[in-house]
Amino acid sequence: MPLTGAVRFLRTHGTHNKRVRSFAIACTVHVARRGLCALCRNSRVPGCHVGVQRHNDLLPGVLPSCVPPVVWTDGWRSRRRHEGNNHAMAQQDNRSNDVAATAPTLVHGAGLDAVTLVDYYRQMVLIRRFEEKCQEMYTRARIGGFLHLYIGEEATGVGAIAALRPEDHIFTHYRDHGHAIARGLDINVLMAELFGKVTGCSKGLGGSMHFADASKNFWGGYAIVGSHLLLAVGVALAMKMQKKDSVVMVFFGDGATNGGEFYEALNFAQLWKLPVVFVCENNLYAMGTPLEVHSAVTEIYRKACAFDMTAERVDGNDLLTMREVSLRAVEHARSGRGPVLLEAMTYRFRGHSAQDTQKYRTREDVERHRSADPIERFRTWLINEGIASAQQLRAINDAIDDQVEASVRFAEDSPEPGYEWIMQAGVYAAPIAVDPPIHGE
Amino acid sequence: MSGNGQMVPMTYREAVREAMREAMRKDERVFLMGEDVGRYGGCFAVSKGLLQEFGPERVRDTPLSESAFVGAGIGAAMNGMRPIVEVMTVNFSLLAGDQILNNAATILHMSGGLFNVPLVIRMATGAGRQVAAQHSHSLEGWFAHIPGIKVITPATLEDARGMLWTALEDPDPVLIFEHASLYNMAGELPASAGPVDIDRARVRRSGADVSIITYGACLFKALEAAETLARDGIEADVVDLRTLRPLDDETFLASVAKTHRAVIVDEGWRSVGISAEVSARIMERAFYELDAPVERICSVEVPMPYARHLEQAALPQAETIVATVQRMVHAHV
Ligand SMILES: Cc1ncc(C[n+]2csc(CCOP(=O)(O)OP(=O)(O)O)c2C)c(N)n1
Ligand SMILES: [Mg+2]
Repeated sequence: MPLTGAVRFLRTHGTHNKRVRSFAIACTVHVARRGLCALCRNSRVPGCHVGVQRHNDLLPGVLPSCVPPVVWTDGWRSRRRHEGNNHAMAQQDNRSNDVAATAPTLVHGAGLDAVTLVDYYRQMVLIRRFEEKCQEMYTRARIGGFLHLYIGEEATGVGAIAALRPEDHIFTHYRDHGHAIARGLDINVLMAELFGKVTGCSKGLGGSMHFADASKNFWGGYAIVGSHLLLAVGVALAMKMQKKDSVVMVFFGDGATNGGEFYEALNFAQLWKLPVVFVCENNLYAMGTPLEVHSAVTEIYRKACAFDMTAERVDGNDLLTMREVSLRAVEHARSGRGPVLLEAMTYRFRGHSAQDTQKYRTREDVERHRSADPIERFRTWLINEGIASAQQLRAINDAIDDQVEASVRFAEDSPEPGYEWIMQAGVYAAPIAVDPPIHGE
Repeated sequence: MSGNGQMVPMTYREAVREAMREAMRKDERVFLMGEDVGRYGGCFAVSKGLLQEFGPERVRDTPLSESAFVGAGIGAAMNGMRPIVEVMTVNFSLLAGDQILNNAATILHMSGGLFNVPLVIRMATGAGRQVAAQHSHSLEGWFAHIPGIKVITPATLEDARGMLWTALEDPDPVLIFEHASLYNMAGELPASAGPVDIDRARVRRSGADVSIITYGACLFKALEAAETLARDGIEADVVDLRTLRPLDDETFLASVAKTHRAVIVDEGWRSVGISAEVSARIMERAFYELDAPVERICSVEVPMPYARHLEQAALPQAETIVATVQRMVHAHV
């Protein structure tokens, strides 16, 4: 099957481009040997990683080149015209592979100053350290319930949210710590939430999966996979009816794209040209089920094709690319041209949740991906570009450690809600006249 | 058949796994499908090892699409298979609510008896693990509202081991609710343990002073309360409903006729719940047996809070049962 796939690929894309050909074959060999492609784990479409030139490059972190971005409609960069065109493919090859080579252009093009860039770094490290502390507190039973860590995926959230204005809106799933921090929620109230205190962002009632902050248009984390996509669509509908030009960004996983809600949301948003940016965080697993086992099409962005929706696959571990592509998507949505689907390729370094024993993947798999840690990647780039010194960045890390410690103290010192809080918190916005009594009293 | 009487140590989780393993060995039409049942071993590790034993044809990891795999399970059941569909938790079964209510439950009657749906759907239910408002429902009472399906709630190891096979043999759709807090419960089962009925309630402890009627994980809170009450000289009859649809009225009515007092303990919400149904049947058929009004102990009517002590306060507890029974008994001595 891999071989016929390669033949099909070569037929579609032509065989006289030597580099494409050799990669397709290398990838095929790899697929045949491992059963899976190490990069996107797509065993069905060998050669999908056009632009990765050597077998060695089948490392995580080179994903920008995984697939040439495809825009199915009138979007910003129509690849449709180029399909089957080797020249275009070759250009893609040259352009995409090396982050350090492309990023400065992006930076200068976007007019980002050092302060902003270093702040992106700070946000990513803050997410990382906060969550490492969460894990520790979970082990010490200070935090209960489910704990889904975002560690390894920081660049996706920070890059995407960097493209939003304060008046834009965010919905996310249960893996919500990173989005909350990137949106600027105070980690004190987040830690307090995890400790179940009234000072928490959801007053101790939501916990890890349900962070929220209305003042930041952060509509919260939702724990029924896929169903919040429709809420995002609804908020966008209201936006449009109120003639506001803000955009709704909604985060979800690769697994979520198999549920009916995903398709219903895409169709609805595209039909009514609603300003939604759908950001699929493709971390290659839905819990313990690998992408190619749970989805018939493993290039998630192609699922938008059925709705004639603009879509793009992007290296979610490359902060600046993630930001740039998100900016484009946000502007597309804001300008009234309808929704966009982004597929951010990323990887979670930790288990699905704190309970996960990770029997479905090997330690080597994880280590391979860790070697392309998005934070480390961005740190190296900042230093190499002379934007910040190693020493400066170390100082930032130290300050963050203090900040995280302080958040634990804040959470610990916060008062525990009394039992009456259960009813006081309110189940109805307008309290009903006769509340049912507690238990059998 | 040596060693049949021998007792084997086992957890609830292992009992369910054994039941599935036996079913798949006995009947090649039986297969398991659901999210993460294979490689991951099930989100509560119930199906761990079954993929290795039976292969991916019979232990199927499905996409994250409840409506799709429950619907497909209904179709496969209609066409000669005996699927066990695992929905991770009752919270997600709502995405398959249409398939369960509008298809599984109706098809037999709607087709004038042409098609039946011998499907088993297993799911975890209940709160107590601090997983907050969207992951803590006890909706077995809701499902018990629906004619056309059966709803069973194994609480003991024996039932976890034995109800599945009987459910698979049943020609109609059966929903099995396994309380998530029971999976780690350890005990012993005879090596010969096998199928048990799925249509009768059981008296788990005998007493003459009050009937505590319950099911699922609350059974153990009721038994704990009964022990405390016994020290006070109050003997409770503890009835485990086991099956919420069809309800076995005879067993709990007989208990009430003996004790003349009834407390219903249900982790579901009180308004319009299964506790209301049991209470109504007592009024209808045993009203003149009662020495005191029927009492109900249910979850506080709020979405489940995250903070540990708030969650515990929102759930029925042994202490609440004790206090309620004492109040009932002493008020009428
Ligand atoms: C409707 C529904 N089904 C099942 C679950 C249990 N569950 C929680 S997360 C998850 C996997 C989701 O994977 P993905 O969408 O890829 O997101 P990721 O966790 O990888 O970020 C599953 C099966 C759920 N919460 N909701
Ligand atoms: Mg995923």
